[in-house]
Amino acid sequence: MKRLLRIARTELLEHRRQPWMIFILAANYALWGAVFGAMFLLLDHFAGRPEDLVVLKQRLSEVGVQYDTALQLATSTFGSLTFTNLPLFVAIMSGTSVLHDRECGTMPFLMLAPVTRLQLLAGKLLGAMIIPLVFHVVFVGVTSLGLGRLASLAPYADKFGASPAWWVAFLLGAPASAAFVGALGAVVSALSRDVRTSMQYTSFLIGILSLGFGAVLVDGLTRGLALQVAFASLCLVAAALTLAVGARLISRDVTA
Amino acid sequence: MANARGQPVVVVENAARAFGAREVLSGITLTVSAGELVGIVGPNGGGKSTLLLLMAGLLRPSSGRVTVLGIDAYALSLTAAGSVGLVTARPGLYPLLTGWENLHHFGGLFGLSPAEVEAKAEPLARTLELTPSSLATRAGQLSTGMQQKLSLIRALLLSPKLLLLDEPTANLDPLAARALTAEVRRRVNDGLACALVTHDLPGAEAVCDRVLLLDRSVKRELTFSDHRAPLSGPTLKAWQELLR
Repeated sequence: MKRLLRIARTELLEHRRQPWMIFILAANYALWGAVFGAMFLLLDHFAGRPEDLVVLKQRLSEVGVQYDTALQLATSTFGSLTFTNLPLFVAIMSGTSVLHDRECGTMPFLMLAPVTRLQLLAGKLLGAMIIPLVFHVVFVGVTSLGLGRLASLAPYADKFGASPAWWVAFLLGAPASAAFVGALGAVVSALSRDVRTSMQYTSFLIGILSLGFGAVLVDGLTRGLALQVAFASLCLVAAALTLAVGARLISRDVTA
Repeated sequence: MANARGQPVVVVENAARAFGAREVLSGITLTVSAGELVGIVGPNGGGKSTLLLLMAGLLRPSSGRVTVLGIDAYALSLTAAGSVGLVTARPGLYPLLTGWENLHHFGGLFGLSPAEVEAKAEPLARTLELTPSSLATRAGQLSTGMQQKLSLIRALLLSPKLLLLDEPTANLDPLAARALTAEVRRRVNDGLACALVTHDLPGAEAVCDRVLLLDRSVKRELTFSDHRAPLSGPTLKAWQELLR
């Protein structure tokens, strides 16, 4: 366990010293927070003036948009996008983790150390998860709980922290899905010979899985706590299996 | 703990290694004993680094066997971790971590505490003239020579029984190269077994007990009864011819 944590600590330290990725992650959350925050605040402003709200609904109806449908779609999109960021960035960070060791020439020295390949992959994954997880808890927590206080969003409160299912999705489901996608990224990075190959595979996995997981997490909120717990459990099992299978696939040969 | 001088530390028995259809090494048989420094010299692509990786247990031989202290080299890291110290041609450091952070990381993987790492590394750093400010600098900002010194310190942190060096002085200035080889020689005299891959034949002559000329297989072996006596005359010419 100590060795796993040592690998995670070094991975984290290296990520901290590459501030561009942290900046992009922060910018991403800030962008969604600003766009959706402004939109929801504006709608809330209209909701406080019934006569203006009627006019807004009429105007939207004239262009074929139903106000309630649009608001439901916007809340789902906001939740989905913010929940997607965690697996997305964990996969990006873990997708180059082991490959980085090959490029730096540190791989032979890791292989000489009494570190199993499972410890190596798990340490890399853990190191890649910490910064995105902190951002997830702070940004998604603050924006979702803050916006959930708006009167106009009361019908959709279950997507803004008002239900146990949301809390499970927020604190367990999203991190578990990130662990699964990140585990795939770490294995891909260990099997890849160069950054291009790793990024191509990782991007494909990110595209399919992260967006899918974001949608499942948010749209599944209405289906209750059990679904969220089951989803999180499945993701954790899948992450563990991915690491275990990946550890068997990776050759100890430093040039293989 | 020093090895008993003359005791075989690494034994390579009829080992071969191929990458796909390309055979890089064949029929290699070699023993490096405690208190012995063996040079491995040869042309580019002759399999020198591959042989070193086989001895480190970082490559599995296609056929034959490699053992270190009687243990299959490929299983070494989990059964006798720390027995082998390695310096590769590339220093192999995390560029964004300082020298100390690199040493703490790799030492920590072997179970050394930061205090133990510092106690072992400081005398080595003084010997190799690596200043405290260099150790506090990110490895990526150090010269390649300084990185190489750091890599040697890492290799010696655990007092290995076998030290494998791949072109360790390639990027060092002459004084630093001399300090490094003197430190290696001193440890070999204390019982360390060492294999040194180099292109520098005169340098190998000056420091090694035996030198192997390797070009996919061992072409010739030269033993120095007195390693300070350099090659000369026809023997030197024959070596130069082989290396050309």
